[in-house]
Amino acid sequence: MGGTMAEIALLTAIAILFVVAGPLLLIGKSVRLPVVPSLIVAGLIVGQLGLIDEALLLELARLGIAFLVFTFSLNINTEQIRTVVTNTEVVAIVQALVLGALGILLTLAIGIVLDFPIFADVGLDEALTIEQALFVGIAAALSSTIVGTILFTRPKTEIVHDDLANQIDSVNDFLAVLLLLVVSAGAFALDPIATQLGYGVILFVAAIVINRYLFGFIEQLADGSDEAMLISIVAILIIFLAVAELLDTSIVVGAFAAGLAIRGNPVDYSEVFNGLTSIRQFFVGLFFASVGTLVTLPAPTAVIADPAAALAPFIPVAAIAIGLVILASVVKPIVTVALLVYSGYDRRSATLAGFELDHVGVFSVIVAIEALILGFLIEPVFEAIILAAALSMILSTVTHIFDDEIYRMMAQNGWLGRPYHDVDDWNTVPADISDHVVIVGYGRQGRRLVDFCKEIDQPYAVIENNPEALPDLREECDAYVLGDALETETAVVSNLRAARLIISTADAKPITDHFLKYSDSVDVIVRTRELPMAAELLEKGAIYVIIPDLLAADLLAGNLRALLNGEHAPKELQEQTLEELSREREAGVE
Amino acid sequence: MVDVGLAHEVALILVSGALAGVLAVRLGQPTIIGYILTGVVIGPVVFGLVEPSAITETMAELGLAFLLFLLGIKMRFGEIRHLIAPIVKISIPQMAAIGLIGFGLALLLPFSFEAAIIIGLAVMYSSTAVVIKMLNDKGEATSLHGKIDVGVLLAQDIVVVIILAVLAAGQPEGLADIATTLGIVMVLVTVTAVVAIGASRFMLPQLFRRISDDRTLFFLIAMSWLFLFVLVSDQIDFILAPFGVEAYLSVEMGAFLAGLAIAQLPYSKDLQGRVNPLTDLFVMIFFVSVALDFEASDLLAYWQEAIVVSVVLMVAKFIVFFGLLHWQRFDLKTTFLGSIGMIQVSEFGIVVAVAAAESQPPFIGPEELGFITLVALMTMSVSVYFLQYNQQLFELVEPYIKRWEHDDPIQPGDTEFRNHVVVIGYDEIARRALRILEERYDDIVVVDRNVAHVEAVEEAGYHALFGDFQYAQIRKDAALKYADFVFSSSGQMEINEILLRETSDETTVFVEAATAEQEKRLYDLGAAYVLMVPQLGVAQFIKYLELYFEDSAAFDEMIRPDLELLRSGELFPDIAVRHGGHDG
Repeated sequence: MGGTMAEIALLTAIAILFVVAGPLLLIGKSVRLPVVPSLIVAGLIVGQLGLIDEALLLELARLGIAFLVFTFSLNINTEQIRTVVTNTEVVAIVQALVLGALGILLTLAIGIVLDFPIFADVGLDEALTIEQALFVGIAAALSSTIVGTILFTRPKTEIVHDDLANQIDSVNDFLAVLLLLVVSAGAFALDPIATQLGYGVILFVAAIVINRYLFGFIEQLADGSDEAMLISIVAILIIFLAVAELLDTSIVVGAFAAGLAIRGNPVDYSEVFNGLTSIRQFFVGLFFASVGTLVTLPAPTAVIADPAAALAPFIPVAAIAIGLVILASVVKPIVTVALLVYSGYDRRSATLAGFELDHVGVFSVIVAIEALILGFLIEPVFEAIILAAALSMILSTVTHIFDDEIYRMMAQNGWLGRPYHDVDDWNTVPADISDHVVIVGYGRQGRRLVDFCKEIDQPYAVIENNPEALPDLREECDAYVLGDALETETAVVSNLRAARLIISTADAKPITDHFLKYSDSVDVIVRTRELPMAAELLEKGAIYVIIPDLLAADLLAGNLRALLNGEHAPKELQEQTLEELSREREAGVE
Repeated sequence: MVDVGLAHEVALILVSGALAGVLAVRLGQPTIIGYILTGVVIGPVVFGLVEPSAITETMAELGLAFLLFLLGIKMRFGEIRHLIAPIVKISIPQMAAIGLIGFGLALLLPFSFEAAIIIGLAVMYSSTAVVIKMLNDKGEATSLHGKIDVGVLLAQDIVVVIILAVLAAGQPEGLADIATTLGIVMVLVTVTAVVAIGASRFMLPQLFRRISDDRTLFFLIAMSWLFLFVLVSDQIDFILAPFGVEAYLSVEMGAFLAGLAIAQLPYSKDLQGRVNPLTDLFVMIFFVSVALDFEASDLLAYWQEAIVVSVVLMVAKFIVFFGLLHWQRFDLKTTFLGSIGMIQVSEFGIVVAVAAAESQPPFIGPEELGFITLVALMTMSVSVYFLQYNQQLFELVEPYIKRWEHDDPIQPGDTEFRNHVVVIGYDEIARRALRILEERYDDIVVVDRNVAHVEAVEEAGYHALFGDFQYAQIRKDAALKYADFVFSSSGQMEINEILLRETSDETTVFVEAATAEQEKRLYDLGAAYVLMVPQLGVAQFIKYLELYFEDSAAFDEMIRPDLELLRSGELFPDIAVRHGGHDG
């Protein structure tokens, strides 16, 4: 058991990685940094000690990639696949293409500059070919969060910019998996592409056959034992990985096919799926920490002794890394904002969505390491991508925390231009409207409120910033403004000052605060999900704060009491609520 | 350039192990048997397809570490305090007796005096891996006999650690030498335990509280904590080398103490659910690799002797345990079940034997090592069946051993819930429901994943469980099956579906849903009432609005209680105190 520090055992290496990662994860948590950069940095630190047999470690850690891709395809398998492409998804694809092209150009440019005679000492051993440039392009293009959506589940949101970012992310996920399949199928070495694709097809066919015919048999065999089911699923994954390996293609292809082979049913096998989650989290954590160990930084002692000699080999790596960080952190948000505004989103939502995507994606790291293992990517470029990923993720956290402040600063300096309206009927509010109800947000609640106003003949105006709601607004609302609630223009056209009541259904602090500024002259009702926040909002002048739970609880209390007192049989209760809710349905709320 | 392939020996172990495991389940056999046989078949004994590699050995070690970590997480002091004295009184005489029997048997058979000592030292422990795995699988780990067995196993583990330390120091030069090594190990174990328990009291609560809302981070930090102890135990000789101290601590002991520290926190139940599958996976590799290290000739050199020793040891272990448990005044069933499980020789016996064989100069040769391993494998395999059918066996022999029943045995406290209320997720709606339900029910268990909620609930006098309802362990702890009323304020469909499936028809179940399809599905599954919170909320709000436009004084009156509650700004106003006139 256990060796000495000079030739450390694999168990010790794993232990050191996790031990170093712990404090970094805690520090990361206090500055709201996601888990992945902390893990990479932990690996970076441990890697510099030079104690670890990276190849051996990676052999184990690479199961992390397998589990990630496996879970991804498992989820595709359980979810309905949609064939309609939304506007946002087009934006995502165009954005990825633009950034990809810029990444390729950047690398080629660095390659050309490094060829200059004055950089003779600095250059790389191998040339920065178009192939290398392609991988930098991929890294620049994808901010995908395969880890974000699957490993670290995000709360579902009604907020437009979060929703935008999520949609763009999921397009990125698909692109990333596609690219991975292509990369690992050896598509860059053109010769065996046909055979490789053939093998891929065989694997997928096998997966479908297993899913259809064999899986039921395995379920029967497992006989309700969670352990047997769990190890069977892991074994299926491993078999696919082994076959992929045998066919000389990447384990990614195998893992993807394995996910398709499993019939996912989270309810029947909740324990099994929970089990897969834990196993995945362990291996994925190990994987990202291991990735960090692969990067060699110049040793600090050597840098002090002879800076020029120590840093020279690192210059190309740093150049590509910095270029990538600039592309991801600066250029990408600009491109995203431009595309989103052009497709009708208000400039605030677009900017905030841009800030959520301003990093090198986690999945780019996986593409890079697979390409490295398969021999397509040279080590310096790989190191540059890893460094850029860690750095841009850390920067992204900063911009994400101060996103509203940065947006305001940019808007005030006129950097974002004037509000842009791509449709003529963005405002249908009569100019002389007064004593009206302003309803902010045209979601489920907003719609119900509009119906209510119509019922009692109360004039109203809706403010909504999601262009996807426009068709409904046109059809159902007499008076609406499509635009950012925070723009002065919106306040003017909706005649806020003359309103009788403002009801904001948007659960977002900046919007809530904005409308409360009108509470001196107008009654304002705002909404929040967090009960402790309500006191502050009342203090600021709200006449009432909507908390859906609180309101629903009022209704529930009566029903529950009646049931317990035997006044209602459960069946009656059902009928009664169904009746109560039928009104909602008639109003087309669903 | 990095050159990485899939570790094919891992692949082979996993796949053949899984196959054997599934077959074992199908044939009604314990999975461990499947795993051990797999190792025999694919290892050098039969086909020689797989040799242990750095990766398989690491995964096997991780398996043991996770198993002991898991065990540690289950040890809540409050629940085992009363067992410490009997466990010490049982384990020490037991080891002495079995050690002597093993030693004597070996002397009768053609073994040298030295080998006989090692055999005696190797056979006195029962298998942590087998017993705990089986108890977990059968849900008996927290029963009284389960706790006794686990306690005795731990006492044995401490002894193993000490023996290993002595063996690692090479052939001792005298009693003084042994005493020094013993002293150092005892001090190290104590120091580590004190550090772990100190941390669980002063550092971990705040630490885990900060991160408990982030599931991945929570899990990774728990792993980091585990590996901190693993690393320190593993490298203790390296760490203490500058001080001129030669020391030894096992990875397993470190993992156990790491778990023990977490066990005292409210998060332990939740973590159990997550470490369990990792343990399943890695322990499987451990069991498969047990037989991988041996050539058939070494393993089978003393096969006849091994059979004799195995049979005698199993009988002796049962009798010794039965006598000692009986002496400690446990009831007949506990005594029987607690004894029948412990009849095998531990995997640590193999570890001790390996250490003895690798010592310079070696105490035993490869054939003696093979003998000890064979005894361990055979007794483990047989004992698995005794564990599997322990209850049936008891019923079978009960009439014959009835005369050993005590008149006033120690009674274990029964803490199981019955006909109670289970509330999943604590929010405003659940809070309101609790206040109504408490009038009718004595026991209300609230399950939540937020520490602040759990604390508020406990303060208000309800039972609180920290954890995710998706984990079977949590549902079991909440005794969901026996609940009379279940209220779920979780919007997660899977959770609601699972709970509707697991509750009986008599249970009244209230659940929340977000959409009409979900609502319909939940009613179909047998929910008594499905709350559509957003819709209900809007409906109620519209009622307020009607008043706002018709009669503003009535509106003010209507929202007054809400405003009072909102102004209090408290996340969880004391649940026992009533606000406004909401509850009519």
